[in-house]
Amino acid sequence: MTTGNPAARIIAASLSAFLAGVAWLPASAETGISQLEVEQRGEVTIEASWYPRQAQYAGQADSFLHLEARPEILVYGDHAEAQFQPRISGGTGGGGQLDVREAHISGRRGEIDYLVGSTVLFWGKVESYNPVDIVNALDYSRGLLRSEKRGAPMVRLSWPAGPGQIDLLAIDFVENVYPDRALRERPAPRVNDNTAGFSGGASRDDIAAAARWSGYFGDIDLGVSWFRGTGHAPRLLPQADGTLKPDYSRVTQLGLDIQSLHGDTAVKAELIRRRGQYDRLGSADSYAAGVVGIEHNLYDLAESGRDLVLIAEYARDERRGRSHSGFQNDLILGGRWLWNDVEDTEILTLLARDLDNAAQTLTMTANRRITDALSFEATARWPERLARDPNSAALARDAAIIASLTYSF
Amino acid sequence: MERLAAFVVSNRIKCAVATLALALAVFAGIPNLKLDTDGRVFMADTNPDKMRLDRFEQEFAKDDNLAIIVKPADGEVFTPRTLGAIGALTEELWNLPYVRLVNSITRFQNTYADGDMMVVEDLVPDPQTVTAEDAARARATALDRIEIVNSLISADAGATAISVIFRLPGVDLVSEIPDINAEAAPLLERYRAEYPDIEFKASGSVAISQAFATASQKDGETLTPAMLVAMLLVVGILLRTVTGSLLILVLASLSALASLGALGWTRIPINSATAVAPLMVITLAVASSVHVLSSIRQTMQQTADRTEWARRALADHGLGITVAIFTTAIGFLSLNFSISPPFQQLGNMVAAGMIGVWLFTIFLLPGLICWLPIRQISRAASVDRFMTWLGEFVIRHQRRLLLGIPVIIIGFAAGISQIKLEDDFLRYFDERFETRKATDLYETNLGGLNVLEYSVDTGAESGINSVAYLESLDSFADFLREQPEISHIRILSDTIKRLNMNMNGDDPAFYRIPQTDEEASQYLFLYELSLGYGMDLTDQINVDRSSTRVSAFVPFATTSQLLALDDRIQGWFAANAPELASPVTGQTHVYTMISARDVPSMLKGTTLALVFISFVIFLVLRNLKLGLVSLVPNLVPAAMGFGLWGYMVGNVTLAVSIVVAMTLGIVVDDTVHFILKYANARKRGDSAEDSVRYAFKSVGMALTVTSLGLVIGFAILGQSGFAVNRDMARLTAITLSFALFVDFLFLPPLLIFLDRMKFMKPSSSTTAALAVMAGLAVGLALLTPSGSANASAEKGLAIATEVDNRDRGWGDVTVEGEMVLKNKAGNESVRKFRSTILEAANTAEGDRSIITFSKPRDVRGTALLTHSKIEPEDDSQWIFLPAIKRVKRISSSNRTGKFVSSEFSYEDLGSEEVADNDHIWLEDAACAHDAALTCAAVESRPKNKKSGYSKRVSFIDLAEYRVQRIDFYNRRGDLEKTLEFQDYRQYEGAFWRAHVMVMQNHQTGKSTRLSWGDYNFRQGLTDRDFTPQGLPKAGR
Repeated sequence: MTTGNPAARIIAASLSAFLAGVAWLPASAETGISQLEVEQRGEVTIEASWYPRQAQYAGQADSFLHLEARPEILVYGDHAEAQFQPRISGGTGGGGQLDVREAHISGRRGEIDYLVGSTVLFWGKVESYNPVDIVNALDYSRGLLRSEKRGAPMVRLSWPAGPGQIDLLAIDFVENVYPDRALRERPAPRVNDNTAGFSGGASRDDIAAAARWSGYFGDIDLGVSWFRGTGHAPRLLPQADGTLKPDYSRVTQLGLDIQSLHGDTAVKAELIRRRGQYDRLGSADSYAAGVVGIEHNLYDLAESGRDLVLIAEYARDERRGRSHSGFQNDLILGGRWLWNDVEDTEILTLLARDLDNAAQTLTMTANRRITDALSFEATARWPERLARDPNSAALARDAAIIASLTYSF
Repeated sequence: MERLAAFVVSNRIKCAVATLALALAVFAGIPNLKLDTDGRVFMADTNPDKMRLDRFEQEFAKDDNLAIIVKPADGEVFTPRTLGAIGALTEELWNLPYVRLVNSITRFQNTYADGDMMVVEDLVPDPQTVTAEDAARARATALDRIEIVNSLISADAGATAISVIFRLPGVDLVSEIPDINAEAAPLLERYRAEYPDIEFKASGSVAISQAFATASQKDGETLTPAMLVAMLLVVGILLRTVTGSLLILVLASLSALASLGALGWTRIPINSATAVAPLMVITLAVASSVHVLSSIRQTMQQTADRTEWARRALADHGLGITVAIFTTAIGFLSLNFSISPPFQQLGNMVAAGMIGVWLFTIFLLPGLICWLPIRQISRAASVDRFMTWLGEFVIRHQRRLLLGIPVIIIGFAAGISQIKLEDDFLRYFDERFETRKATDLYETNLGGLNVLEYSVDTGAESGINSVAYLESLDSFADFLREQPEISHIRILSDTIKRLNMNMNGDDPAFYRIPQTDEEASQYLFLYELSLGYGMDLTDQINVDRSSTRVSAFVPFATTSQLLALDDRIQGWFAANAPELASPVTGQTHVYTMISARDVPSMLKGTTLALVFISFVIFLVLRNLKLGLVSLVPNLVPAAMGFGLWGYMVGNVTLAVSIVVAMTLGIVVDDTVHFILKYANARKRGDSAEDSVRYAFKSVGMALTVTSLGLVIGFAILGQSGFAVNRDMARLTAITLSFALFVDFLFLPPLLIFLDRMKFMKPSSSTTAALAVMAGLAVGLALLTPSGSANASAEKGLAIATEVDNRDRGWGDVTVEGEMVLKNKAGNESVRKFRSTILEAANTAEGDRSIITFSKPRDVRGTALLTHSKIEPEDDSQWIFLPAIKRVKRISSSNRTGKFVSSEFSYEDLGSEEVADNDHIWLEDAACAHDAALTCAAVESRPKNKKSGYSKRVSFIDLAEYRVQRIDFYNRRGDLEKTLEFQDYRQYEGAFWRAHVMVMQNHQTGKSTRLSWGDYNFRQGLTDRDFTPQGLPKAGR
């Protein structure tokens, strides 16, 4: 992150300001000059994962323990506030990570909301795969099927426009993190994080520009976005030492995400047009892709007090077999079963099937709160025929059972 | 709109000046206007048929001609006097500008044998000195020549044609054709005077092009004043205001000028189709300003304050007018999908005019209303009284109308099957035009003016001299002559055969194709050398002599006949000479195809317009169902209009393909105005019937007046002598009449019906339950003395209203809440959250709130934003999920669901409006918690059937009108829950807030205790703090 570009300098400055503010805090509390208010909180997660099928590649282990902490400090002032939330993780799979998920100052000047510093953004409407969502780099340090977003240093200005808001963003580039050698859910050769390359106009110092309008008309929620800068879906180039080198390209993306709610049913879609993206075979390309879906709520099933949310989505990519995402002609069906009990018990089942080659993955996730501070989550994942799918053949043997406990303080 | 209205009224001088300045800038384009006289203006350069025609004309010649028919009264052309006249006229016609060739019976290049010699000479070499015998000989020769019978001379020699062929430089299309006509017209006039016994009439493409130009001028000159007068009369009589009518006149004229100015700026010349654009704009301008005037007419019964008239007019109708104008503009803009440039221009001009109409109506009219003397009339307009009656009529007979009108609609629409696409561009002009008379005379006496052109290509240089080719051509000629539709043809094989005969001593046995290629080629060469001045074969043979032109002339032909004929011709090619097959072309064919091509592309345009317009309506109404319902009255009138047209006329010309898109935009206006008013009334809580009454009362008059005005306006335009404009206008007038019919008689019953259906939908058991309940209610009503029932309802409503009124004006509030959930076993769990609420600005909308959770910790930061809506509309809800930082719109139709699995349902926590329930006062008694206070028990029955309750009984202390307890009865009517309010404290000296609420579920034994911290009122929060985009901020 310590690069010489202007945005990074701004971010470094704002971070220093934030830290200075925090350091200055006790003094001000005594003098009573300022109305600063501080809140500290956080979460710690311990996760155990077990891969019942034999590993496909040498060096991969069958089970892992993983620990992650997300402490958080919030400082509220009269006109501005600061948030700092690092994500510290590590485990038996190796590859300890420190990511500054949130580290920013934000506030409002007149009509304009500003945010300076690192943050995570979400753009999109559908459930399975969000092609529109492009701002943050991804941390795959637990495996390719379990990405977390990395904080993106940025300057963001927002102001109301019509029945919604315009965001203008200048975003500094952050690299993806790829799984270590021992981990499952990784490509056959290991991706060497230290060798990132840039081509097609991309560079490490690239400041991405983005704009988004999001708002709603009646029952329709709409987002229109534009992004130009180094993308986070690099091609992976084989190196002489037997590793893969991520090679990032500069992309331009126009995105549309829309949701229309009709009583119990929501119809959703995300559509993008992206230029400069490397496809699966490594050549830069212009393409359109989209996901359409429908979500239907069934309330109080058979007067049991439980709700069932049915989800059906279809993803399409005009490059078909050359798609880098693998979501080129895929159907996703599933349901979320909500107990509506005091423990907020919930089970989500999703079947994602590639209609081109019948590769499919069934995932089932259950959540339940144990005490006020402790909650439990378990996931079972069962891939089938993934070997037929060029995008995920490397993951064909990575059926998994994952359980985690999260303690919030 | 309220704000805009207030702004415009208070800044009326500035607005008027700014609008006029803008208008003047647009008007400045008017001097650029020119008149386009090209008859081919309807053909786009990108039209594939037109491109083929261009290629054809490059190969041969672009024939712009005057076909002058000469018909002597004595029925005989071959008299010395007539031949003398023809000869003289032929000579004089050579002096017209751009002339390339004048062909007449006297100058016909007759060939005959003189011994071994072939002679080529004029049929009547010296027309001025011709004798009766010469004439008779010429007659015999002429009637013998198959090449000219039915083209230069009629079969009975009763009429002849002089064909003047021009080669226009094509530099200045605007002036070339008028130049020719400026000289040709007086010339013919002189001959008519000199030879009163001989008819001289001019048709042909030059004359028709001229008619295109005169038609637009005529429409402009004769129809405009008639239309203006008619509109003013309609408006004046119905609204009884002279000044008002004048106001409309000013507005309409300004808008019409704006449309002309806009065209002027584009520097596209005006043509026969766009000439009517200002008329359309005037009509539409009248329609929109009538809304303002009729509103004024209604307001003036209440106040004499002119500014208030203007303000109310804008505030109440501004949105409707804006939507109406923009949908109209969209409809017209969709004409850009037409393949005919004039229609595209027409669409854009009217759209520009509509923007003018909007500006003038919104920014100029209010000022004018304030300044001009408009008499205040306090009596309701008779139309208004009629509207009230009509509203009642429709409601009384709703069932009959709902079932009957569709029958009528289907009956009319069935006529669409009778519609045929028939275009005859020679007859675009009616008998008022000289050209049309000439055309009819020509085609009756001589042959057709419509021509199917073929370029029959050998594929080889000089290939036309081949005997095989010529023989194919000859049998093609025979085939064409057998076709009944064809009056005559022009084909090279005829010439060759005659030459062969001439070269063989005029022996009729040699009237056939020569034996060898050399002979054919030599004869042609010889012939061309001997032809008179200006005559050559370049318009029949192309430059490299690889292709010849075959022209088939078809009188009184319509689109379908021509297409069928060409089908047969192509069939002949396929069967007999597939290598020579050539596609048909010619100006006639391009016109024939325009309608065929325009229908599919306009279908696209219309669909797109429909989508856009529906989207606009949807945006305005914010209601999908009403948006969909609005499609019915938008589409049905066009279907009925076309149906009626099918029954009455049958043929449609190229104009009508654009009618659907055009009328769509206009018809939508009525629908939008009506549905908007209906929706407003429904939102206010009126019943469906009352909403219909309100809609009739508030916009019925305006709709009647505008529709009447529009129908009359388009009916006058329907008097145009130019078929394109005439058919378009008539069909539009018919469609608009049907629109009013549907909007008044079908739409209201439909709206009421749909409203009912929604409540009946849930399930048959619900329906049954409702029926039983209704029966019980009726029974109870009969048992209870009606007077007291009314009194209880009044008192109930009064108490509920008082509770509501006492809790108004708090602005915004933030409070911390804690919920303790207890199950039957006594186990507790805790929910903590902060609730921020923004009071609704007015009663038409609900409060906005954000609930942010801090406990349990795993949902910390989760925030729920609610925009409450007035029943029966669902609230809008968004949830912020902090782990993935996502804001998601969620369904809020689950009113009965439990809030964070507490005993409070979403419904219990939502903001309640008085109108959401029917209230009945039950009794007054000492309050349970404090016997010193009196509590009124009020029963509230929810109007929304999605509610989880059949009724709630609230106990309200009459000292401060605080709700002390609520008993909730479930749908079965059992007591399900009781909510008690404790620890009331007063804030800001006005607002009472309970600090503890305990909800006890009697059915499950579970309970929830909700306690509130200190309330912080009036922190200056705004709508901005309650947007989904701002939700992440609230969530941290």
